[in-house]
Amino acid sequence: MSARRHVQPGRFAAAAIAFSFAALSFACSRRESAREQNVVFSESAAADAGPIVDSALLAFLSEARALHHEANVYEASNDPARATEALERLVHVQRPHPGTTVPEVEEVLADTYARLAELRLRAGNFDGAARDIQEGLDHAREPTYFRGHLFEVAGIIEEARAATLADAGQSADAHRAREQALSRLREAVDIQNKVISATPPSASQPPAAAPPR
Amino acid sequence: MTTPDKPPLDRHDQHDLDDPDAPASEEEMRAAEALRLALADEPREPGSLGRENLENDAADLARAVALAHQPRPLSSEEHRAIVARALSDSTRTARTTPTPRASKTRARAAWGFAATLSLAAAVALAVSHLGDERAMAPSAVAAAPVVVAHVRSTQELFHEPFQSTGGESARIDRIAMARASDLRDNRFAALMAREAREARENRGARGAR
Repeated sequence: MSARRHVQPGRFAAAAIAFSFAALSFACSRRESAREQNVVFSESAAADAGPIVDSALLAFLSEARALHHEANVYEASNDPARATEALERLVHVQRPHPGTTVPEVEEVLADTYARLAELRLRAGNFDGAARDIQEGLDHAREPTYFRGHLFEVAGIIEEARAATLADAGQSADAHRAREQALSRLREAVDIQNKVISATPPSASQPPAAAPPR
Repeated sequence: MTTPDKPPLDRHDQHDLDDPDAPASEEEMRAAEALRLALADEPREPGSLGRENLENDAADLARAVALAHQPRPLSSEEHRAIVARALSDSTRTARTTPTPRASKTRARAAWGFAATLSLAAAVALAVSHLGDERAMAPSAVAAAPVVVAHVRSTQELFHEPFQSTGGESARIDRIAMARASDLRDNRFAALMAREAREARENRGARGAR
């Protein structure tokens, strides 16, 4: 009778250890569930923010990089015509996520049009260069360094055109081109100032040098 | 047991050693007689090495060799002495060895200690988990940075206006490298999400069963 009333120490110990294991497994399962909730949230957030960086985007960037370096090789070989051809291929390649604006693609294309304009300018093709600038501006509608750079190149193009017209004795057209150049260059300065003001100080400053030991 | 001491050799003995056929010397004769008497003296306690017999190292050596080859049975007295010595040793050991009852008590104490330790660990884990769960509440998760990289302007990669001409190739290099890094991060995040989803599905299937 008394043996039934008293809990045997061995049974108590076994029950306590079993309870401990149960608590341990319960805690681990709850922790894993919380981690899953974190991942689920990230996935739903991704759906709201547009396409994610994927292999299609990387393929486009890789192709763009290759074609820019191909143009480098031709430029180094004093063959601007073939450099221009390489960049023209780039602005016509298939783009990732058709129907969706991908900022990286737009900015790469804007910069490519700026380079095309520089190449045509060196060849004396002012109208072709101006068309490239207009195409580039269509890909850089927000105030960014890319848009500012396009206006800067546009100003240089008009400056060169004004000089050529002045040399040809067309003073009135040269004057208009000069005015256009000033307008474009001022626009470039304004855009760059906007970008600089919008950039946080920490991002615009180079990393501070380590103090001397 | 030691090897029998040899008497010092005088010039005559040295001459005898050189000649093995030389007659035994007087000293050798005495040693031989002592050995004979010692061997003839039967041990008063069979099995002993003859310590109670006549003292003779050569005889002791001979007996030891003989016993090693063919041991004699123990005498009853010697047997009793060995048993008594063994019993006294065990009594001494028993004083330092716990009784079965004491051993049982110690085992119970060890189990009790282990059980208490387990309970304490479980409580500590539950308390710490409660803190973790609060930290990972939906509001806290919402404040955490999103691990998936989206398409976005590359403006953040450039900290100053571009140079007037050129530099496009270097810029596309930088853009491609930055987005390649983003793609690696995204692939890792996708892997984590897939594992989490599979774990959820497995748990759901277990629950349904």
